[in-house]
Amino acid sequence: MNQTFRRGWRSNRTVFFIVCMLLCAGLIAASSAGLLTPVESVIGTPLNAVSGFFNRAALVMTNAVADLAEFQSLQERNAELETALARFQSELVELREIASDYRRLANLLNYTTTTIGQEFVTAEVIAVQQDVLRTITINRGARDGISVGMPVVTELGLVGRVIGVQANASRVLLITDPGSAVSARLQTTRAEGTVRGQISGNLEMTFIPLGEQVQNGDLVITSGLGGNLPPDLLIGQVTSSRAGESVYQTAQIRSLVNFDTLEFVLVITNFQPIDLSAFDTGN
Amino acid sequence: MGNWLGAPLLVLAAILQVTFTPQIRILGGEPDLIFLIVLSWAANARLEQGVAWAFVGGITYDLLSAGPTGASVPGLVAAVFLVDVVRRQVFSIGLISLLLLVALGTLVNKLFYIAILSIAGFNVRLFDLFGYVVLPTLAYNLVAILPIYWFVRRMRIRTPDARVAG
Repeated sequence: MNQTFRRGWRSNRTVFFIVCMLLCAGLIAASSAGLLTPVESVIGTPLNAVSGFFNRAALVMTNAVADLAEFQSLQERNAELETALARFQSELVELREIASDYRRLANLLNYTTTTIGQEFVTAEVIAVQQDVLRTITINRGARDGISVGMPVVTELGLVGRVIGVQANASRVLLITDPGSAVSARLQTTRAEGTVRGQISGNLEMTFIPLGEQVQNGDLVITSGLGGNLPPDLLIGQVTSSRAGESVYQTAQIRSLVNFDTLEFVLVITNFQPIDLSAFDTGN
Repeated sequence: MGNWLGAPLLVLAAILQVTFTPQIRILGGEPDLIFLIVLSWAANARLEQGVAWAFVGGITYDLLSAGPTGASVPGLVAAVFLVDVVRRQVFSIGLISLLLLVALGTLVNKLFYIAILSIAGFNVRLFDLFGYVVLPTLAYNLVAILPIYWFVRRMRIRTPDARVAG
């Protein structure tokens, strides 16, 4: 009789569909509320370990294919690099001279620089999501002191922000995700704006006041406004700019980070994002 | 039996989905391995088995991605029911109906996923994603279904309950 009942409700496809959807809704609600975090961590641990192995293999294969494709142009590039090297060597001599001048002048002005000590945790990228969302998964989690909101960088600049943490893995929302917005400023003019990810994976700096001069090659850094990220992290370089329809202008930004081939990243662990919601008046 | 065979295959597909396929994407689209495997199985097995594969595949993928656990499942389940509706109308699923199922199923699957992420608080833009992610994924899926369907069908034939399910 029990079997008959089971077959009965399964054979009614509408009921079966509704039951499935209700199950899904319950699952999503429980996951969003964090009720499944312990289970997700337990199951996710071996999955993340295996996916880390596969990701390394995928990157090796991708690099090998890319190397093969570039093989024909290697000689040409070699000649170009030799020319560039000669040019850079002469520039290096000039720069050393300038650095020496700078040190002397700084000493004269009793100029002191203060740098904010940053603590890093190195993490390996073990999974990538680059479709509807642009995220990476790294092999460091709560056990390594990672928490939600921590900035993630490489030596080439800002990568993103931690949005989810498991015991030994974390999800990072890349700055190229269309949902990402970073308060930024141009290093030269100090003009401020917001760097947003584009659907194409590029970056765009918006809300730059019209009066500000924006030049190709200008470096874009985090401003620290909003308290979500520390100031002065490199985001990228301006590649083009245009005046918008309003009182703002927009600039296209190119990050120096290659988000497609990220292998290792650094998580800044001694930065705690500031929750400004306490200042909301509720109006 | 078929359900148990599916678990390791779907876990492998989920891992490949977050490691290998992003390396071969066109724009934001990449072959949706889990969707294609689930759809292929649903076309050759009982409805309940297809639904079970949708749950296993969807949850495994969600554990490896940023969305909430379960976010991928409704789209896959809807695609399985879509296959079931078509199966009841035709004697057997041929190439044309398979490609139509992939096309329609991809749209249903992706639209469900985008809608759920939007409800869960992620900033997703449907119209932008449609051209940049959904359509390239659809093109990829139409090509990738052929070897995947062939493989899954061979696997299905070898399972003991294949004859029972029909």
